[in-house]
Amino acid sequence: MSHQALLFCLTAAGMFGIGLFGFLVHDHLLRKILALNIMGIAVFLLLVAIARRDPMTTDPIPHAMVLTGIVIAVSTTAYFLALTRRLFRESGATRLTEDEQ
Amino acid sequence: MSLWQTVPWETGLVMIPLAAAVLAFVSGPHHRLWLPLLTIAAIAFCLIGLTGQVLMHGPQRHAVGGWGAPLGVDLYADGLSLVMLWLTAGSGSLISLYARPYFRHEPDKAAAFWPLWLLLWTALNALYLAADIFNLYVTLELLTLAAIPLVTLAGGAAGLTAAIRYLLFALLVHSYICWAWRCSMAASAAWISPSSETCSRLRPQLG
Repeated sequence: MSHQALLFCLTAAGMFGIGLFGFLVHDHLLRKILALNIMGIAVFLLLVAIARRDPMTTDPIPHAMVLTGIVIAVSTTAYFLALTRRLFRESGATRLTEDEQ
Repeated sequence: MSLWQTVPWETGLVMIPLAAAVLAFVSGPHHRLWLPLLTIAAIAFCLIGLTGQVLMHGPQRHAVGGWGAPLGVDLYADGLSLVMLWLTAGSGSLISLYARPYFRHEPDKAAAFWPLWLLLWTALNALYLAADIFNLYVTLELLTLAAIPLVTLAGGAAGLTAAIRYLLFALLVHSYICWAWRCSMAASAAWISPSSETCSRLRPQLG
């Protein structure tokens, strides 16, 4: 793997870790979904960085998979935002509360 | 007899509940009995055909629309797929038959339930018939997205909280799944989604 691709892969790994940390630490639902989006984009960066079969040409097929992944990420983000808005309208909460036992 | 064996029954298993979900969404809250019964009968018919095909000719692979493996979708049916398909068809039929009297007094919940439940069945069938890891990931996403509104049907803030919790966990796990199969793509040097044949190439390198 070339140095450029290695740098991209390490960046992707770092972004994944940052996103995971943000997801675990924050309570607010909007920050959680932002962190999940950062994790998703890190995965796409990894795929684009390793998308070559020989050192000269890039492979278009993993790029199609990244586009599919972007579509899935956008639709799940929109879905999550709709659910969060509905929760805010029903109960005024922007954080998930603990279950009362 | 030869027509029975050459028809790709797998496509019916994915397309029939999908078409039924669209019909259920379009026809609204005024539901008759024919839609779940017709869906169950059609899925059972396709399953019998597919079982006969797999028992006589071995695992079947069908490229949907004639487009091949890297960019197109392959449907792959073997013994394990058949077991899971029959399981899902059996419990799905019982659920569909029970759900009609269950939602009799709540027509707006029924109007939301039927398209979602049929989409969930579509996603499950497509999951069992997925030929490579990328299709597994996509159908798992479909499964999650179809199941979450079903959770919100419980009603109120408690249902919404449960649905949001489910979605958060599912998105976290799906990021991990994505990362794992992209690394497996790089390791197996397949550069396309590794199917079960190319994944067997990974085995000599482990340990």
